[in-house]
Amino acid sequence: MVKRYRSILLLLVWMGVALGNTWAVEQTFVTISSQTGTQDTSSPAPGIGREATYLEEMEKTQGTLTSDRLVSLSGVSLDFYRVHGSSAVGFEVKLQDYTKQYAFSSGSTVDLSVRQFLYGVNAYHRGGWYYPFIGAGSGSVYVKLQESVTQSGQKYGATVYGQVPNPYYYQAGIRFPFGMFGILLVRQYLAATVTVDTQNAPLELGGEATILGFSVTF
Amino acid sequence: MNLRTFFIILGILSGLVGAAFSALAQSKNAGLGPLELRSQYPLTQPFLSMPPESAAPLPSGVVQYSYSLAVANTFVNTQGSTGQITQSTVDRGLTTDDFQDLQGNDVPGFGLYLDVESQRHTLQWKRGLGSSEISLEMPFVSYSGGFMDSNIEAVHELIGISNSSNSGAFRAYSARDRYAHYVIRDGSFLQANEEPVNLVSGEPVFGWKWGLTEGGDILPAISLKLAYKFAGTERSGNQALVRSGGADWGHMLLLAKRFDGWYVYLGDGLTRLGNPEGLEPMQQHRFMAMEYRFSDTYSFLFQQMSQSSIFPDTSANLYVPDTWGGGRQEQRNASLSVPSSVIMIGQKLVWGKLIWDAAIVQDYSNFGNEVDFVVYTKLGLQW
Repeated sequence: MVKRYRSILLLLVWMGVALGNTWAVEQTFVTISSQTGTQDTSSPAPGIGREATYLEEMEKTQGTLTSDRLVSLSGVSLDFYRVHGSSAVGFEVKLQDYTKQYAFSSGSTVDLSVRQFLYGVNAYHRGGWYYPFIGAGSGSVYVKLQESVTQSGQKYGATVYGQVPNPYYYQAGIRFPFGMFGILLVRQYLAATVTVDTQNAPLELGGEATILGFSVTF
Repeated sequence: MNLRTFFIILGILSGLVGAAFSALAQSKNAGLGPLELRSQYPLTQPFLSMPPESAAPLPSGVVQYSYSLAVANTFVNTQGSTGQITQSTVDRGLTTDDFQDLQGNDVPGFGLYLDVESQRHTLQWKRGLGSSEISLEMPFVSYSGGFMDSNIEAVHELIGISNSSNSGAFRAYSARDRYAHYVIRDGSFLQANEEPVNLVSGEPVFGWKWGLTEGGDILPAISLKLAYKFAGTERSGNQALVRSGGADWGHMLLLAKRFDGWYVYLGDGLTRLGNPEGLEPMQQHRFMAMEYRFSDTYSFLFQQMSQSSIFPDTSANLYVPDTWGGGRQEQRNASLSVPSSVIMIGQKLVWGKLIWDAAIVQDYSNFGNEVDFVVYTKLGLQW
């Protein structure tokens, strides 16, 4: 049980220890960024993700999944952080959306509309022209899932709403500042599994994501 | 493992690491604190709920007396999409038949017609006691048709939400500012009332908050809140809509961290209901709050609060044949058991011994298991 969250705990403790050694001049910044990227929902976040079998259950009755499991993310983030010399610690809130249609060889489809509201702590190193950072957190992930399936020659539909009560993520990234503007590259690992009642099976809404962003810092 | 266990482990680690960093503990990680507004959904009103609050207990010896008022508008019509319950149906009086599906069958699970504006008045006393804080509160609740329906419908129209659609909760089918409170389960009414409820006293709640650490420049302040709601014995008539008659227990782990002018608060907790009467006996609560301090005495707050549904999961059949134009009622009602979230935007002001909070709350999950809109204010004296 503890093993599952060991990586997050170690990360948080490391952040505290690392920052404790770099105390100097203090200043607070606020960064807003617009983000876009791809998230591979077939790759559970290492250490915190769990096996999701909803699509495999659907394949048993609806044929082979013909779609890939990559989704296109778009979103915004607000990040405020306090600088201590060459390091900084801060809090980030981000909102990410995606839609996706999974298709099966029988012609059945599953349409997803997902919203990821995430928040957590980040730790930065300010290396002059580049700011690498790591972070971890939680939030809420919402989904509207619509199935259109064929059973015994009859077409059926089902709409399921869901909210993942305990999603977790961790991330690593780097920001390249150009004055008050910046370019952001983030690798995000999100564990957000919801049980879909139609199949009584878990579906991974998160996964491994690569995100590109453009930021403005005040 | 869920977030509570995670926070407990983090708290233990923080205590250990905190000792090593105690020399760095220069500033307290507590601003004016989050808006202390609990769930106002009519079905949760009789039960204990763990609202957001600061991780910092009142300083030892400090006393706070306060009065708060939350006016909450809730409108849910699970029969709206099929047009089965409209103003004329309510005028003649709702029966269990109105909650059947279009095929005339009782619907497994829950069905709702809630046209409720609640007023929750709360008197609260708090006192700092060493590194902890004790509190006692007493609620008084009213249910009526209220006054906000027309304003909410106007805002919906302004931002392009149809009051004849699911997004607009099918408000257009019903009379404005009218009180109706119907909850049905498996074809039988759990609650059925159209008589306004005026200032019925609820059940008192005792709280104890233990400040584990004030934190420092690195570590957050951490505290544990325990709460107990006493069981009322008198529940005749409409009192049953305000008093649960059961002893409820709750706990919440609270964290707070300062980033200069910004403060972040996190909390995760659980409530166990003593007499749920067919509703979900365990309620999970979680919040995230961000406070920006314009000055030592004035703050702006943004909060998000999530909680599990008061409606238990049902074994609803989720598949609807395409040939069924009206769909399957139980399929539509299944979303009632999904966790929901609200956002709060507000301000806090301290003026000498006077404290004043004001906020609005909006449900954005739109699953029918939360209030639509809340106006909240709190006035208090602290010395």
